[in-house]
Amino acid sequence: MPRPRRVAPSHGRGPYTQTSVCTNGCLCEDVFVSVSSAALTPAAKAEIWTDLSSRAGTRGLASGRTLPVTPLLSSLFPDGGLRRGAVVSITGSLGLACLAVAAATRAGSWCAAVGLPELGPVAAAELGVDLTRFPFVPTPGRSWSTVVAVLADGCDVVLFRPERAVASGPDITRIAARIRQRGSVLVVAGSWPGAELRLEVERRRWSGLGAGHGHLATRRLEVTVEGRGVAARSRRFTVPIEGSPQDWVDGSAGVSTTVVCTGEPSPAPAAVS
Amino acid sequence: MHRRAFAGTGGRVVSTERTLVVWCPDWPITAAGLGPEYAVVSAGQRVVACSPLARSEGVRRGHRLREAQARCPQLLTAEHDPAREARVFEPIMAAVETLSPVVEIVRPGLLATPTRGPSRYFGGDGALVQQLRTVLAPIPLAQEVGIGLADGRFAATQAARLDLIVPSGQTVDFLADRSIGELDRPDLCNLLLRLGIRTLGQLAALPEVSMAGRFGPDGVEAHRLARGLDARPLVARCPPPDLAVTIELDEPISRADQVAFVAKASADSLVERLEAGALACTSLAVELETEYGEGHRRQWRHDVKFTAAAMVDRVRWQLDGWVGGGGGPFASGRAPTSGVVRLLLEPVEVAPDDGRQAQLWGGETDADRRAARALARVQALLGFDAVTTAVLSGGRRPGDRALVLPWGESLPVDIAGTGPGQAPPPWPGHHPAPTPTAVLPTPVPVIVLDGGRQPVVVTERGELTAVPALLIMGSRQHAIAQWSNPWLIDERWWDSASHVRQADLQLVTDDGTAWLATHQRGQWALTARYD
Repeated sequence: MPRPRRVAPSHGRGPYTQTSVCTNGCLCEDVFVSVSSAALTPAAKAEIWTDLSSRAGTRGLASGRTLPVTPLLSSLFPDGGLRRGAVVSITGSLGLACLAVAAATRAGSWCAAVGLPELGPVAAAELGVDLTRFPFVPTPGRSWSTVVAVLADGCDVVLFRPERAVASGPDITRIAARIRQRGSVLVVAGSWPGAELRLEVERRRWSGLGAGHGHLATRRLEVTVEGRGVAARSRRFTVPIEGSPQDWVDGSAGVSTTVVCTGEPSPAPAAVS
Repeated sequence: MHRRAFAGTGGRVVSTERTLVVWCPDWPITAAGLGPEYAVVSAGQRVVACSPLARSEGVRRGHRLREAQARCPQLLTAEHDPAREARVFEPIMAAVETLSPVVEIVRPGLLATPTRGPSRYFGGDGALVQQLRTVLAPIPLAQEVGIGLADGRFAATQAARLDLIVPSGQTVDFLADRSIGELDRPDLCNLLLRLGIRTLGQLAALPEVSMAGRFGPDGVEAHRLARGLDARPLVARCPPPDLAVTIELDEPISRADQVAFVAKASADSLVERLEAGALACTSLAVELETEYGEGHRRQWRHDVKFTAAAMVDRVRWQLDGWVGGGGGPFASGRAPTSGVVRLLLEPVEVAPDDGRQAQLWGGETDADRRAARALARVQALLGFDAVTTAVLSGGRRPGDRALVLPWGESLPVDIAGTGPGQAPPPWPGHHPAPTPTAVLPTPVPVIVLDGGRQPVVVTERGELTAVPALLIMGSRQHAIAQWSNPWLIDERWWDSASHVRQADLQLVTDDGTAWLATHQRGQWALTARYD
């Protein structure tokens, strides 16, 4: 799990102060964040940390080389997160694309969704996206490359679905250069020539429905990951998506939320958590 | 309410100007049309204003709505709508403007005006107040106003609550007995109370130097208010004229949101120029002029400083008020007859910016500003409606559960109380999680057949007539592997225009795609896809 950079120790004062939120309930004029480690479970601590850092807008979490990604998907990304300046192409599942950007929005980064007129905001929120930092540009039209370039300037992540197949050309090189220069991430819900990382959903299996009863509950996606450089070998994963985003944050849920690597290199299927 | 002059024992002569404040108690309640009943106005889940009856039952501002309802079960509630309050306040503003040329609105329900000129014209403070009461008498919503006159706006506001005129020079004595809670700074007041300072007189007795060291700029401001001075020293009384921003439009615009969009860019540039000079604007004059020469000028005041969003809000409220609320016996409230061609934003009062924001938490960060600039550029490229943002709200069908607004419109206050990590409250009858990722903008008509290639329909009772086996989408056929029992939705049966009666069905085809199919009046259509 990508650990946030620890700035606030559990007791005492320090130079990072300035909040009047005091979990022990006392109002102090030298205000400081006091999180007593004995009283809180890891899940609550992680929640407080994400909540505070998102409200303070610290770029401490996001100014590193990678943007955070949910622990559920961290084994799919060779860098442990979304690498800044890279293009990630996710085909076959909009839900997986939303899941990939969800943790980044919660950590304070903005993510613009371009060219996704039918994306349901409720589904995005259920997958953990913070809707206050998730604006939509449903129909960019013919000037999609300008729009994507402008948004890559301002937002840390751009989630884009091209209307028709994208061919290599000046548009692509311009966008790639802008992204590398600004350190943004482009997540394409489709194919993109020259993407550093490609996630393809080959099969999805839904469970929860029967023959005339039940309702859709969980899905298992079989994802093939290919890429350049570190991710050159293609590996296959099975990603179960169930439960709520809180279970995925601290990874304390049971076996059902582990991502199982079922492809090469090891011949026997290994459980990666 | 009758007025009386305050007899004090004399005090220092101060150099603040005499101000008259008109205060309408509980204006949000009055504007919402809730009369003398048990009523509150809430923003999100917090009470913003309560009526006197509700206050007698123990409801206070800042309570959660549930707590208020527990204290007073027969409570009526209304949503906080600043635009409506500004609109309904228009006749009172117009009435006061007939007596005094410069009227400043602090917020709907509270306005201030300097009285040096009008007082001299009408022959004294008492005569001015009398004239004002006569002028406000015919307005139905202005029956309970309090009018106060004192040196300085803060003292005049306190006087308005007691409905009296404080003679010149006796402001300090008048303020000495007021409690510290009148400063409206909860954190500082809590701290001062625990340190033993309960009245403004005790606060004024503290040395000024130690206030700055101990409590920061907030404390210095509070100390100045307690001593009867203006909160900020009036350094730049006349800001340099080139700070004003004029926008000339080629074509007249008559819609408030379009005018607000045009004003946004100028407000942004004005705020940037102010910030470059380390200035904060505390009083803004907005002037609108239409094609036929009708003008409307209003002065707005902000407690801390005007941000660009706050400026745009005031422009919108002013236009709404001018167009919609111009009723009443005063000719200056006549509605415009053509579109707006000229907009002027002029900072009337600026003060050195000491870096405070209106909120401690949740203010704009650097990332928020960068993203806002990029989105504004995309809006300029593609149009105002091209960039949208979504807020979770309540509803049954997947398409109803989110409210989609154009970017830049102020979001309605928390509809479902959602924030990061918070689940919206339950809405009876909605589909269980997970929600479909892709809601098709136009439903795709399909045909559902059973094993014997006969159409399958949903009966009145919500049962399928046969076991569905085949889904035909255009020219493609898919076998249906799993399906659910249909959910019946019958909404708004009382309104034949918006009556919806349909049955929803989840189904999974053999290639693993899950769809939400809707059966309405014998026809099937796919409305959403689970991705």
